[in-house]
Amino acid sequence: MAALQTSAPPASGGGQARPRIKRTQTFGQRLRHDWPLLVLTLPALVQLAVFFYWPSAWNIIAFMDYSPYRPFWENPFVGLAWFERLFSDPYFLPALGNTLKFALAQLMFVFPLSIGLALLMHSVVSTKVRSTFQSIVYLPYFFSWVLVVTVFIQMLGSDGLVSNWALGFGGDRLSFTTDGDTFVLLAWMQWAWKDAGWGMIIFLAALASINPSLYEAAAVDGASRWKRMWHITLPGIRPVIVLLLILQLGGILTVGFEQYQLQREAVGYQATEVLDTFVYYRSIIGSQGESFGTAAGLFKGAIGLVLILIANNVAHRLGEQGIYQKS
Amino acid sequence: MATPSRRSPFRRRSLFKAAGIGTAGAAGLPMIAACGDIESGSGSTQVTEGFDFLPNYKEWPLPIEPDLVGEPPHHPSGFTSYPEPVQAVTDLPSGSGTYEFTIPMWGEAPSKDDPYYAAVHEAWGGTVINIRHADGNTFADTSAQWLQANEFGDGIQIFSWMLYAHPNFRETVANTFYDLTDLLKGDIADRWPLLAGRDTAAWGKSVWSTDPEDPETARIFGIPGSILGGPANAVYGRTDLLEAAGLAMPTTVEELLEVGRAWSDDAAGQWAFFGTDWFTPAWFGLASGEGWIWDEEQDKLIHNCERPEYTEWLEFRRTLHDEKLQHPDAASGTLEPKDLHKAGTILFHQDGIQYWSDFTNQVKGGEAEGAIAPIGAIAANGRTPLVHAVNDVEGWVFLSKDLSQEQVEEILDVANFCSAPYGTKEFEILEYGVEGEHFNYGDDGTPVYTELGTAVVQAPVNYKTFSGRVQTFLTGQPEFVQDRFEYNATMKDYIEANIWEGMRVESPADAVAADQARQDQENDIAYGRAELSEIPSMVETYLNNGGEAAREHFTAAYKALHGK
Amino acid sequence: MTTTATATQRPRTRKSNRPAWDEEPSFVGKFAKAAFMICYAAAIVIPIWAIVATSFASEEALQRAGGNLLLLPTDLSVQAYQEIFSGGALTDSLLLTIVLTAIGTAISMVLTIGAAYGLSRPGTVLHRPLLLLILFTFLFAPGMYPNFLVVQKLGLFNSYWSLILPMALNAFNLIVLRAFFMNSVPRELIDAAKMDGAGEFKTLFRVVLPMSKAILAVIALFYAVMYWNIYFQAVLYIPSLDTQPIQVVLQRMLMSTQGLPGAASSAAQYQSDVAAPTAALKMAVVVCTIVPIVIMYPFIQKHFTKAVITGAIKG
Repeated sequence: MAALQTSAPPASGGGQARPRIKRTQTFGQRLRHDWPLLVLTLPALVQLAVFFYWPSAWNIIAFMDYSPYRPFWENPFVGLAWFERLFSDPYFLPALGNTLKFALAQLMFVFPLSIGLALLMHSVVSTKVRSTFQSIVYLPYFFSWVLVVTVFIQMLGSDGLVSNWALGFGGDRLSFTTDGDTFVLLAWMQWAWKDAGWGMIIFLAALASINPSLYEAAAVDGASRWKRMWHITLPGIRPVIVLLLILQLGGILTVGFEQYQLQREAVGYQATEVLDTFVYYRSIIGSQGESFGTAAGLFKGAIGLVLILIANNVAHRLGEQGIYQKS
Repeated sequence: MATPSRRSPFRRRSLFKAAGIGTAGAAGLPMIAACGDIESGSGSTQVTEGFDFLPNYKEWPLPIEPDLVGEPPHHPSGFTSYPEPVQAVTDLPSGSGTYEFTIPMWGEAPSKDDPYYAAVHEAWGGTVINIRHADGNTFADTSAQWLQANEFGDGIQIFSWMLYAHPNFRETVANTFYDLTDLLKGDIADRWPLLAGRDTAAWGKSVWSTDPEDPETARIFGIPGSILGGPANAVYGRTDLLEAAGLAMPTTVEELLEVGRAWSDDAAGQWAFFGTDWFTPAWFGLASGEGWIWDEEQDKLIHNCERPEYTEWLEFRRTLHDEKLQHPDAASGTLEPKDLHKAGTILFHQDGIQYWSDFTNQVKGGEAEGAIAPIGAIAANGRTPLVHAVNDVEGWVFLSKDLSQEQVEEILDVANFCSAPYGTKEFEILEYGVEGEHFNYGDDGTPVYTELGTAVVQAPVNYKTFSGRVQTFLTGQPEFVQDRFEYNATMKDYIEANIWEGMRVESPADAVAADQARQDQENDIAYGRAELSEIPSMVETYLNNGGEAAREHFTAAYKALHGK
Repeated sequence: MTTTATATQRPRTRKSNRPAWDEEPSFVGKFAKAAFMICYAAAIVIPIWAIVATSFASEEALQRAGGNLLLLPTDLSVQAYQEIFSGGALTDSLLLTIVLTAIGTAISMVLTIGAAYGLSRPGTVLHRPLLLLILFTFLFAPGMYPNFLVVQKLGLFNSYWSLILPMALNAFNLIVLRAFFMNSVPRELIDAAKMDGAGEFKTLFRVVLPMSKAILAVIALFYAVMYWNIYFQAVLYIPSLDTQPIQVVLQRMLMSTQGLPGAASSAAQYQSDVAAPTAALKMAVVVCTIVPIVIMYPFIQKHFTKAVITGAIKG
């Protein structure tokens, strides 16, 4: 377990040292040496080839005026016309802006909340309290969005539980669930309620793999509780945090669909329009067609790629592994 | 108006799950026409009458005349008694094929082992038609995929309001479905007397042109569903609560508002209204469907949002919000207004006509208390009321083009069977199932569903809607039929004239997008997020971003249709 | 390290499990922590309680509440549960979902572990191109229609395999596991195993996997949850099959009345209110979907604990 505690650079340095030796071998020699690893990887590659790359080749229709009833190659190529249409739509930029806003809120508030919960859990000594709390907070993750939104309306809606209590004490009804201006906060609460407990689990797993004797040694050396958290706990889960952050960045433009669509009427389209709902209302209800949606998907993918590359680069500079290494 | 309202909640609350944008983006929509290099989404039109290749109409004499004689289409006749059923198809064909049909269904799918299916198969001559019960909530979206991949079994049922997810449906139809023209053309009364007895208009509405440019290529592609005119929706008031509060059922919009003010009590948690978005435009004389009317004076098509009544309508909706006359969580999308209406939390509720009989049945069964009645034809500012009503085929059953001619003929035998009207043995088994299993005769001789019958035969879409009836009537519980018949009588004079009769018009894609945006803004105003003063700029945005293009498209269609 | 082990194994003699070296936190700190945890748990427990309470409510109580969730069911009724388990369809659906989850998770784990280990050593043959092939999957998703076409062309339409194979590999899980193999499994152990003449397979099973139990448990849980929640794929890929995954059944119930206030569409008449599920029934199904998860969780948790102890001994 030592590798986790010592910060990453030596480990990645070790990884880089090996190829240099191997480079001197021929491809055939390396193949003979490494074939078991390839065999292990093969099933996954087959799965990807069939269920990812084959259907992904269809993305070419983002550059076509596609109809399923023509032989494929008779569909006319239209260059970037679909992308032009995407960018010239007056609702596209606001949707992109909202998407980034929600994605940032998710990264900055939900993510740390999961870490915070995990650290809190880790610091609780009583196993009973720990397992009770754990087995409660992750449950909402399994609720569909319809149910989550229902629960929020029942609890925090204008005619909800809290409103009626407030009314009983001479207060006013909440207008929280119908207010577009505070929708980010509402959405944040919904994520926190639904997902934070679940996110906690993976960090707990990472925390579980930190060697307790390190704490003991530090404590014996006189390090306080906070110091131990800062110098042992956080570095211990740093690779996991960085990794998850990078991966989240890749999917940053996919913030969800149902949550926003369900609350569209309640808080208004201006607050809830994200890329996914935009494409839905344009390409399925607004009948812009399959090519349009594909173009929007490619655009999202491109942004995701750039973000992953940047984040990975930053991670390398900070001495972390990231998701792949420069060799 | 031929096209169903874009306000259909199916659209707003589609369960379409976008696991990623790829999912959301690719419902597989074919397209036509022009924006730069893209030839897509310019909309289309399809004439639906005046063909010479439809089945020759030959009246199929009803076994029994209706007790209540109305004035179809918008004041349909009805039955308040149940006759001894007669056999409609005397020369029963014998079929041996087995087919699979995809059909939308809401709620829990019934078991496929149920005796209903076997009994029906036997009754119509042995042909086995297995039903693929696909989820109704997602059907419009998912069926688009199945059709493009030609993976829907031997047939599929599609409701006309579902076509929003199938833009350029014409191309799908021409490439995927069996062309029935040669089989149905001319005299078919010998083999399919019930199909020959169907209204020519219903067949006309099942026609698509294989080449949009050439009207000569029009062909029959679908078996049309039933046509039942009259109001399909209403706003229902709780008459018992009105009475208890000493209030009368309103007869004008102004009275309605007064009733709402008198009854609502925000602090006590009771509100007169819940949803008011899709039904209320009629009260202000606004057009249904895409919202166009022909203005004789200006000699052009005018959209709802360009009319002063539009502002009045939004003022009305805003008043409900400002004065707290409507449930504060009405827009939240997860509350069930039916339940709130039954609990007496809300006084008025907009719903389909089915809600009326359901509520009445539940009161009878002791599952609900109270009484409801629909608000009649009302209008604001002393105008003559306007009532939106549907007079279109509800949908079609399409057959796969891979079937052989013999197979299609066998399926048409079944369709012929399914077209049998009220008062026949065919109708009874399709509509009510097997006596003793799915229904029993009540004291007045009317079939009453058993619990199994409710679950298997009544609720889901099944063989009942396989092919439209020769004639459609109001049927069911006698009191309800009586009430609805009388209600229709009071409404029939105010029914909106359908200026698109004889043509199916599909909006250009831009217009649909602009329409969506305008509806979002309407909600902003109605729920207090935007001001009424923003209407002019909102209308301008709408017109500039697709509204004017839609006007051109619809004007061309209108002129072609009305010979201007 | 022996001290740690004894510290954790000696709780009975002490007031708490707190290891000897750990100082007692301040009262304020303890209080704040407890208060936060109670509030957080309450925010989750109250709604869940309302769901459970509603599932046991009688029809009259629901009627009075106007279909809202109830906090205190006045007269209890198990009618909703009777309805669920009498018809059989829901029981079938639960069983199917459990089987799908088990088989799916097993297949996914085989694919993921193999690829994660196979790609955990930079510099091996074809390492970079293969890794790039996997990373590429983050960039975009193929559309619904192409996915559907592939499933159909492989003959998986209307087959339960269409709910497993297309999503058997999740690149996110693969990358997480690979990072763990690279960062947290000491190279020396692997090299030592090789010295002893163990091949890659043996090393994987004897050395690497036993050390990775915690992360494997988490990843298996991720996959299990994914399969458990399968909804849209089922709606699209297996319309003809009688037994549908539990989420399909649930969503049909949750959405059935919602999508259908009738509107200007004629479809309202096909959704008879008579057959509409009550709030109690809907919530009872919700409860059924989470009960297996509640049952499963302690086993997963046990793995975490074990992993801690393993870590202590190995460290």
